[in-house]
Amino acid sequence: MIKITKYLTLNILKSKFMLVYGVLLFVICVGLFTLGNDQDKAIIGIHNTLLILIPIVVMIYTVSHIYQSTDFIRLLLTQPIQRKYIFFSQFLSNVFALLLVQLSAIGLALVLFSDGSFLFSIMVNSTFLTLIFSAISNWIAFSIDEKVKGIGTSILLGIYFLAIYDGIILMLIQTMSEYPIEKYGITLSLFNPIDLCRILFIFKIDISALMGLTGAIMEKFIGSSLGSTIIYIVLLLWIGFPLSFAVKKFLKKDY
Amino acid sequence: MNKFILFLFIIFLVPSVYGKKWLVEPMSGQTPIQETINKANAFDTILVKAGHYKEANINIKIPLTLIGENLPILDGELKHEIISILSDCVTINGFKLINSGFSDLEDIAAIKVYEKSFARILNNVLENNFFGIYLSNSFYCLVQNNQITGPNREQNHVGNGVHCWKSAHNFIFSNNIKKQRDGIYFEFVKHSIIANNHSEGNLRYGLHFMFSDSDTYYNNTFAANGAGVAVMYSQFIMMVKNKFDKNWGSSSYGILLKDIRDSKLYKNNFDKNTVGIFMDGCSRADFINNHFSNNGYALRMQASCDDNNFRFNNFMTNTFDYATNGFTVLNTLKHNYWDKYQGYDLNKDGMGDLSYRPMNMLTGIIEEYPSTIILLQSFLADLLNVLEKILPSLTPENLKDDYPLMRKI
Repeated sequence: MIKITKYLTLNILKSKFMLVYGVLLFVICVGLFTLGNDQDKAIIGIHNTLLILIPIVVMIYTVSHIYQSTDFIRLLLTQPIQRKYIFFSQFLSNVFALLLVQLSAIGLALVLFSDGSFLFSIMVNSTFLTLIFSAISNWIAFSIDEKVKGIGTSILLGIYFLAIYDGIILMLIQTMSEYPIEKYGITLSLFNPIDLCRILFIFKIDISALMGLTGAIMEKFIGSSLGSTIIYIVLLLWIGFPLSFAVKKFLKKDY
Repeated sequence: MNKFILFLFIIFLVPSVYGKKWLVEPMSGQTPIQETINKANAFDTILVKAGHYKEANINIKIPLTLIGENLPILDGELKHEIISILSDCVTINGFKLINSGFSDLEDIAAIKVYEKSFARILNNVLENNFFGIYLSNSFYCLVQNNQITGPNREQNHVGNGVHCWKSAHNFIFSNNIKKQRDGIYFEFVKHSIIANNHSEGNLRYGLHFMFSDSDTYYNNTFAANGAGVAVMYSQFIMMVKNKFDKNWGSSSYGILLKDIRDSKLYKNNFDKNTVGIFMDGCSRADFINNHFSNNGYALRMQASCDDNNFRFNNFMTNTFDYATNGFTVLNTLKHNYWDKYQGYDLNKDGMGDLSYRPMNMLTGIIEEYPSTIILLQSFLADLLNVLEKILPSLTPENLKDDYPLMRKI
């Protein structure tokens, strides 16, 4: 399994897409640092860009990559290797390659242009996002046989998590505004990994003071050890569930 | 101005001409300073040598000048008021006053002026006192170059750094105030000048005044105070070149203006505050050439404000530039620089050809449904803001700067 993972990772890293993606991320980060003169604002900007870019790029890339390597997976299946090893080496190689490119690009920009205080939390958030959306796209790719349909679904799902879900939150808050719903904002965001990462980061950079009563309640929750444990468990669940569904699909898939 | 010159003339010339000099040393008696004061005549000078004097409370009932050499320590032993000024024309210069008493009933201060005028309190160091310098019903007093540091107690057991009550024509210059309840507190104080002070890390407000008309604040710094600066129920206030920095917290403001009328704020700097200026019930105030940067909200104006005038201000890298809670707009925004402005300037007159709407859609939604703040910094919020720019519906239609500047001032 390690051998297959290694070769697959190297293979992915050789592709031009990865190079372009890494350079693009690095240029965006550097651009945001040099355009604005304030470091904190640049870091918020970088994080926002990552929140939009990572889900979309990871999903589209992973899905199309899986469709492209269908033949290779078929070849591997003829060998005496267990199916779950093939699945995990495929998943891990994809994640490793993406993380390597992303983290080195962002890390380099942050180390060069900032004092590195938010390096860790940005890294953690982008790692979580990559893992979650890679798992989701594995699930999509192994459930849907048609390439166009698969990519379409992944784009739609990306937009859903980016914008539509927030729109639903907005509508819910609007209709329920007569009730004391401050407490449930965080509960709603548990169902969207992007929102969860965004809110976690907002509380790291201390703009929570802007958030009034809602912010105070959320800060109490996130600040407590129970709250942060719950959030990280939920993030892990967001990796675990899609991944287990994907494994199930792959094990039963008729190639 | 004539009064001021006369005042300077009196305090600089008169004592030096007529006074006799007395010398006080630490070992020369039980209460050496008070004994010397009792012996002295009006307008004498008393020179106090360095040492530790535990003889609070010192009463000064005749016009005297007390000068400390190398900061002699006057200790209130956490029981007494240290110096009580009960005469006009008293000067206290160069002492270190520590450990005044504290009480829930009386306002015990390190130096308190009781309904007398022309006091001068210069170059003192005040540490661990309840109130620092207290002027009650006093006129033409000068408080200059004092270093005031409060005790490490909770808010209810800490007094104000410089406290003025029912006074007028006072001068508070170049003091450094820390860890008190309010850095500078004014109530019913008129025609006073507050300049070059530094008020930082106070438990409540850096500057707090009520019912104090016609005061001038120049070149002061108010930083990292518990609740920023609050000013209420006053008119004809002049605030020039002050700095309001890092007043950050859920109930903290750079400056809170409540019922302020006919006032002027020029060239002030608001940096890293949760709310730069919070205004409620303010009328006819001019805000010219102020600089707002890195604030959560630069301006938060309740709909009860009218006839305020904002011109030539710079708004840079604030999360929200402007928020209001109503749809009627009775204030004027013109010729300001907004870093979020995306228009163009075809005729090159330095002003954008499209008007700028400082309140974006997310701000409008948040004002109506505060819980939606969880969408802060989200992709949806950016989308909505773009939409609102094209078709304003949730923000006041008239709230706009028709002549936004292309470059900052």
